[in-house]
Amino acid sequence: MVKKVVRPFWSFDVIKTEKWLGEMAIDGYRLEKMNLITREFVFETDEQKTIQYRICRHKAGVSATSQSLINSQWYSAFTKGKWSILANENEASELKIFPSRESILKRNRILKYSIGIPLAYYAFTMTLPMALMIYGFFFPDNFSSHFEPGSKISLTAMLLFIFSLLYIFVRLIRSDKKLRMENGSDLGTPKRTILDQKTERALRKEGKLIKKIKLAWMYAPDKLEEWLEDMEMEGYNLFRMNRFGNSFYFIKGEPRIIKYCVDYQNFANDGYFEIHKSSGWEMLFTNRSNLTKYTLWRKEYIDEEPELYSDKIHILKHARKQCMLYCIIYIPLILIYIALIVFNVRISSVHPDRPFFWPLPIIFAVTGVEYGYFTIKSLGYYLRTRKRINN
Amino acid sequence: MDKVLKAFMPMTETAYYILLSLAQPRHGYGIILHVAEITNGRIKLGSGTVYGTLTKLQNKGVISIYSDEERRTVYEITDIGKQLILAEIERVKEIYLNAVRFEGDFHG
Repeated sequence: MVKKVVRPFWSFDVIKTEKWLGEMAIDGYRLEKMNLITREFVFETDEQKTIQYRICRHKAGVSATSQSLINSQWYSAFTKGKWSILANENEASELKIFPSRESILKRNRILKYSIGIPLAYYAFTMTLPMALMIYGFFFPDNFSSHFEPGSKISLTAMLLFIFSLLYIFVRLIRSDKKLRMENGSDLGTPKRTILDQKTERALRKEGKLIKKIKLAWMYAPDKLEEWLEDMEMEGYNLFRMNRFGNSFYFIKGEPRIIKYCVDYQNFANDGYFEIHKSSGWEMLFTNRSNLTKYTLWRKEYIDEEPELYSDKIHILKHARKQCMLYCIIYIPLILIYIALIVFNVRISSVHPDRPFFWPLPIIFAVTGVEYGYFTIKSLGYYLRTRKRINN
Repeated sequence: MDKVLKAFMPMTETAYYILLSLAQPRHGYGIILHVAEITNGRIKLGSGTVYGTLTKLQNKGVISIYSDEERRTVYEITDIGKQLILAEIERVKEIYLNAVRFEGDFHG
């Protein structure tokens, strides 16, 4: 007997879908196939048994079941395009290895950005007009304008579309949290401070704890590393940073020889935090953004200075990547600000009778100079890195 | 397959030893330890270098990953990866044989 079930939002919470597939198997329904477009699952009646399911994403044409997974009796229950649903009929307690969650997390991240950015833009530009329209929709008497035929339907359709996007967005955030917490701990979060706020405040009053603020250090990370290493040598032990990464809290203690490393990644997955932590690096800070991830690592040493990167190619590539990113972001902005200043000055020369509004070009100039400073700083970082490597 | 061979051959020493250590599936740190062991401590890979190389190899389908009991990432070579390392080993063998063959000429 065939049973068909439509689950339109199955891919936005894979853990829930996997559980549901497992429950269906216990009830005697084995997953036969599914339709990715209509989002319909097709089941065949079978004997009742426990099956563990794992939903995976992979490159088209590349099998998701590696040799080790096959050896552990994982098999593909369904594969189409980039999706695979792997199954294992052993007891959950007997399972030693599992398909990785990384590809699902990566897909969720891309989806979150591609839904979140247009939604934020929409919220920013359209909230007021939409509120007025909805108000007119429910209270037509209080509204001076009238609605064209069909406008009510299109307004409803638009609202439905926006709300379903919002719903998917919230589901994705929740699902991501579940996926990340599956292994018991969120690897991408620095360990909380050893001191509670009260002790911290008391130490600060006694002068044993100092707070230093450093802004825009990511444009020249090598300078920050140097500064932190010098502070440690003087006996100021960094013990935490704030969540924005601009405040550094030190305790006066023993001088230590520590290597600090700021690392820049476009994306960072669990494997990233795992490999550095198991290699003895301690994470002090990582910014919350999933794009352009800065992480501060440190390691104490005696003789040989440890390096996060043992090859020169990687070090230089990172510096170049970062420098290029800031040039691409800031140089066009600087040009726009220069154009705006010129435009303002020219207007005043064409219309000398109009009062010239000075604050505007001054704000533009200050912003332009600031962006220029960031660009020069990151260019300096790249040139210093290149020089260090070539020597 | 040809694309992968073209992209990675000749391999850097780092990539070669990382892939060579995946004769059996390993954790990231396990790779670092194994490479240090088989090169008698000559190559001490930085974890950032290993992560960067593994990501690149994974994107090209040379290696795949799975999670172990503690949900830690384990890296495993794929069939494409096996073909790649075998092709590279052939190349290194040729280098070695020529090194042995002509070494004497430089000692005089």
